[in-house]
Amino acid sequence: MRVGLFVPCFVDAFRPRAARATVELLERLGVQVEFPAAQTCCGQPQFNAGLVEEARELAGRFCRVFEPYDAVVAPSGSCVAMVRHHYAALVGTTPVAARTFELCEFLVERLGVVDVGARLPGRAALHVGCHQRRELRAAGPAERLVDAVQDLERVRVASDEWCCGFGGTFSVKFPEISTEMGRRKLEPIRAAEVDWLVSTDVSCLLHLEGLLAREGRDRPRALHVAEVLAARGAAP
Amino acid sequence: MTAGNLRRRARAAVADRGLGDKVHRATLRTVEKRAHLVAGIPDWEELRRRARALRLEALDRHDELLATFRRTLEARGATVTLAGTPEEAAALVARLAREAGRRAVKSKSMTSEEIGLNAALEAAGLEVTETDLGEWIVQLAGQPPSHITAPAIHLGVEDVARLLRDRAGVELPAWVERDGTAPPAEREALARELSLAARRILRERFLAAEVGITGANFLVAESGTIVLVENEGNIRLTTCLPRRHVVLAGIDKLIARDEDLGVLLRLLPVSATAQRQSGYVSLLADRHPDLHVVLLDNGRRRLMDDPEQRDLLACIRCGACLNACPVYRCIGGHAYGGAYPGPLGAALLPQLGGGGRFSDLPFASSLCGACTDACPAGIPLHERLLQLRARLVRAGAARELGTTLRAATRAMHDPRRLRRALRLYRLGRPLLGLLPLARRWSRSRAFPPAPRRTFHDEWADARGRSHGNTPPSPPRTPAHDPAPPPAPGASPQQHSSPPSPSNRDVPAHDPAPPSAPGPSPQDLDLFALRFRELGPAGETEFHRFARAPDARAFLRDLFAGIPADEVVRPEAPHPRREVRFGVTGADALIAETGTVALSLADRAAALASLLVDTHVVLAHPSLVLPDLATYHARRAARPAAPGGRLDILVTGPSRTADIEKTLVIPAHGPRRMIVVLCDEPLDPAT
Repeated sequence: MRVGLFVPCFVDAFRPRAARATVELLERLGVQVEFPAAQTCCGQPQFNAGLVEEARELAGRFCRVFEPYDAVVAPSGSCVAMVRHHYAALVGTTPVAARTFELCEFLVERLGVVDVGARLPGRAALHVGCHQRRELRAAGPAERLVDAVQDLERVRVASDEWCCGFGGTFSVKFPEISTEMGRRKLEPIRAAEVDWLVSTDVSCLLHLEGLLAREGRDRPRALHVAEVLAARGAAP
Repeated sequence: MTAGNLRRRARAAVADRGLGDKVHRATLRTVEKRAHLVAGIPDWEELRRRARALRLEALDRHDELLATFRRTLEARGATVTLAGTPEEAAALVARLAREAGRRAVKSKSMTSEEIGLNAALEAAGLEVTETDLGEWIVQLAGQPPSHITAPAIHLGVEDVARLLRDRAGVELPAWVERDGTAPPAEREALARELSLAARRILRERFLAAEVGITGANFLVAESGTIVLVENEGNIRLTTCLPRRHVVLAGIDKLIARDEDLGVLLRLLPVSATAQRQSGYVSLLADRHPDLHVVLLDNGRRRLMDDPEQRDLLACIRCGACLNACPVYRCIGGHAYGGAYPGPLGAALLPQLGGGGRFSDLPFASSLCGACTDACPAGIPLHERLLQLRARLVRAGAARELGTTLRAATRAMHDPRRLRRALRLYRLGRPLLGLLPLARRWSRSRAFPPAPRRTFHDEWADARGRSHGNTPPSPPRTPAHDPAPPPAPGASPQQHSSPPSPSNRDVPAHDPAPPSAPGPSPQDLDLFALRFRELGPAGETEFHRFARAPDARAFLRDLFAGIPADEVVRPEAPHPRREVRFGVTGADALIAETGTVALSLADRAAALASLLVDTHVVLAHPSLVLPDLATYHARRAARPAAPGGRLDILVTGPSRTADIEKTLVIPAHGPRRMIVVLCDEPLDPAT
């Protein structure tokens, strides 16, 4: 099976260690990934801002770049939802879209792995991004994987299924609403005094992490789910 | 309205934490209760699918259904008038009301908000009183409603107390006087007192009004039925007491068949107020001597022909998308600036008449899709918002960020150029705060840390070498991958020490268990169970007698010592003032919901179950039906008499929860219900 890795632009720029962790994890599980250098962006920022033509061009590009692969894996539920849920409206039904998977989905549903041998001490809240939860209907794999991490306790909080408030361009077009949504989302998470705030989406994390940093908090620390699943225990 | 205005209103709303707290509390409570109910309805998804299908069918057949509805109503002596614009509709309703008199009572209607009806009525010299408790409260406050089904959701009990102080002689408790707080029990007691004071005041208005103005939840074309759903009894009083009844509704409220109600009237109460069935459903297809229907277009007919967006008209106005929406919960309803707040409003308002003002609303969403999941009519609301964004951008009505994003797109066609741009982030990060757009991020959020290298760069250099040797250790910040700026005064060690696993008990967030499917009890037992559940404090009594003499003895005891004019017997005229007991028969008993269905001769006959303290129902056990779908199918199959028909579904005593979601019984109708079943024939007149 030829597996292509898609690293969304903001993961590439702001959180490359989530992409590194993804590669590491997949290789540890015996999956050799290829990383086509011609990849850029899935087109979601454009699509959500109403720039359909621009999004269509990027969707076409994505499909060409990943056409040779049997499966495409990305550490981002939001981008995968764009590809699988919205590409049909832009470039018609394409086999590439159907075989593009969010990392956790790929691990659980394609590889059949739930315990990836990870260990991370502490208590974590898990935020599955809204597009993964409601467009891909794929919150389950992420939850099962995190639940199987040794020494990690997943804490359920009232705001588990709420949007974090990022919303792409929404975050700068309506920053006050976006910020308030994030704060409300964080309230029960802070109250639960977890050590880690884990998300399947880097975009959600950047927003929540940015809010926490402004509050001067050192806990919880934000982690991408790939970083959790690649973890081999606590470092000193 | 411009983007700046929407953003400004949203900013003000967000700054008012108390507002967000109130809206969160109320909406999340409904969301939770609704989820619990839905979990016990195995065919929920099938119902949603059917609702969508039948609502779209009604849109497909709109012209035909409208003609049928009009013909049917005109044959019964009513008038039906189509109004193209809000101004036309408001003028029409105002004229119809003014012809009848000077005092109007009005039940909640979002369509009336859309056309600014109250202002038009007042300008025409009418005194208009909103009679839904929440709606009356916002009328007193001089505000529009902020939620489709919970108009005063943004007000606390202390706000309501202040509004009612002068009008209802309500004394303010000390804690309200000193702007303090009170424990929940005290707040609930005050909510109850205020609700009952409102009942007293509004009762006078009902009795004095010459015209009653209502909206409509649905209009059934084949039978010419006006369907009205409520809990308080104010709609029933509005339709039964004043001489003239004026209905104002959007043309999208038409549905084809009576049977469709078996789907829609199951979905609506669950979605709107997390109830199996609302307190009262009025199915008005009677020959009313003075009935007028005004149907509003205001862009709807055009929207029906829009292949992409037409399903927005499948909306049943339940408000579930508002409750589910994190944006709505943070900013409340007023910030949207139109009659319909929340995701539905954001999608619908720009497409109704004068929608140009609302072109920023579709952008005020994180597209999280909670609305789409919540919608009982299966409208993919967040996808409609997405499509609207594309249209608005294409039309040049929205362009903010467009330049930036187009430039980014050009870079994204060339991986090398994109890489260069991404590398620039690290260099430019310290200066980012100078850009106005970037400041919109950084005013409340730190910029993401700038890693030394992008993943692309790393891969290009390092592929071939193993990545597996250096597993990232999440608790420690890798040197080449800077962490967020440390907290002021916090030492780096605090960041790097891993948290120890905690064995503390975490309060588990158990989802409410679904109702046990279990073996289905007999319909009659289920009816008794569900009916009793409706009155939390003995307000619903269920009695079954095998023999008629026993039932008669029970009734004799019940009415012992009560003056004869305080008991209204079946078929007897009602004195148009509240009496102690009203006795009625029943047309059916619906097990699933504990509902008593009444079939009445005319609206005056409705008062025996309405303008009374206690509604007594005498019925034969054989009248029990398993569920609402069976009732509506049976009703649809029965031909209506030439004089029309009037059916009322009564589900428990009248109730309101318009002040802080505190349940108060009674609202405008009966306080208590007693169902007496007798296996032997019982002549109710004796």
